[in-house]
Amino acid sequence: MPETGDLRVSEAVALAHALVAHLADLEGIRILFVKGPTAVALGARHPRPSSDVDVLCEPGGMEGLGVALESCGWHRRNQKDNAHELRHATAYLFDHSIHYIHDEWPCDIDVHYNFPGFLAPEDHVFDALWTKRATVVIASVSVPCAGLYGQAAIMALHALRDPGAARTESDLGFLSEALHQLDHESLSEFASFAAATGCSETLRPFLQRVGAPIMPDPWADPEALLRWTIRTENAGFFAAFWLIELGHRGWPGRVALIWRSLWLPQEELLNQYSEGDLRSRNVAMLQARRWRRVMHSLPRAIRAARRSQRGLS
Amino acid sequence: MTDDSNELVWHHSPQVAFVDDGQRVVLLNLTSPTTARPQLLNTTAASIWRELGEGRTVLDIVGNVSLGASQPREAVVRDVFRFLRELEEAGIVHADGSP
Repeated sequence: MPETGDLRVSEAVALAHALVAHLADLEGIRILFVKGPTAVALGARHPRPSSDVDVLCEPGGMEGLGVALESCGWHRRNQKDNAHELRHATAYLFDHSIHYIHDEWPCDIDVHYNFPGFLAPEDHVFDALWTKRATVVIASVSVPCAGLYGQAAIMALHALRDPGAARTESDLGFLSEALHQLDHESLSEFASFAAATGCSETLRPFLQRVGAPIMPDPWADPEALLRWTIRTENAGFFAAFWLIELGHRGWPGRVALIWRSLWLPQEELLNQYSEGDLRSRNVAMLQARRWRRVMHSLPRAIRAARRSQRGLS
Repeated sequence: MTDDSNELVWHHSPQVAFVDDGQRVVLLNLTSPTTARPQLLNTTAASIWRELGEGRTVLDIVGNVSLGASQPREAVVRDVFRFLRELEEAGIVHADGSP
């Protein structure tokens, strides 16, 4: 029988859900699929195709699941950006997952250890999602996934994290329509779920949009909320995070960081701009394009860095 | 192949994940996940696979599926049975009452 050569992305995504669910089951690790086809099945997302698998892993299970995936030929994808160099600014970037790829599969598996916007501790968030989980059949296999409230919160947080992204408004619009079907009691339950997972404030615009109450959030953390605000206001403008990092470095570190930020390695540059031509002329053009973008976003980045330094004072 | 074999009811293995969009069927055998690779079924195999969703004997399959063969019916039955045995050895299908 022919094998993976002409596997379509939609087929790969579905089968990879089944594979991850099976591996997690074998290892005794609790996982929940989020976004993608499970969110579509629960009515929390437009029925559009997915190009990757998003799975939230219980705290403490990441290593075991990673080893299991690696035993099947999946390996970690090198980080495409330079976020890993930003020791201080990383708190603003809300790192949240590890990407796995496979040479023969045309999709990624994105294993999340948390989800940006949930400000409660990771184990608490996972347990809350687990309690409200659902089961969906993907590729003929029943897989565990976040329930409607969890999927809705995750989809809305994902959209609110990058307010300027092309899909944000349509995703929020679709989700609002879905939640408008709920009765008052269900909306209150959704609001309670948001409070219990520490996203009442990060999700506030969406809760207001769907007419859900804003409940007291035991995990409200002004510092984390400030970082979330700076992150969402600067989505897509990486210069802000370089400047925040600069503010935390001594002079020798600053010089090195400035030099590094000005001259991205060729591979990183091509990754960022998704262009495969390695000719130096094109690399120079990309570098110039990047500098123009940076210059354009500099006032905004300076404001973000100042706000970060002022903190809550 | 005996008369008894004709009575076997064949099913999908519960350890197999599959995607069927109505045109293509792709399987992933999870029995041995470390070596599992997605497998695309050809048209005939896909037709047989679809039949097994509700459990079928070889004779049911031969009766229901247009196999496009100009061979005698006995030969077609034998070919389908051989194919199912191959799938069984690969852990992709199983038969009720199979040893």
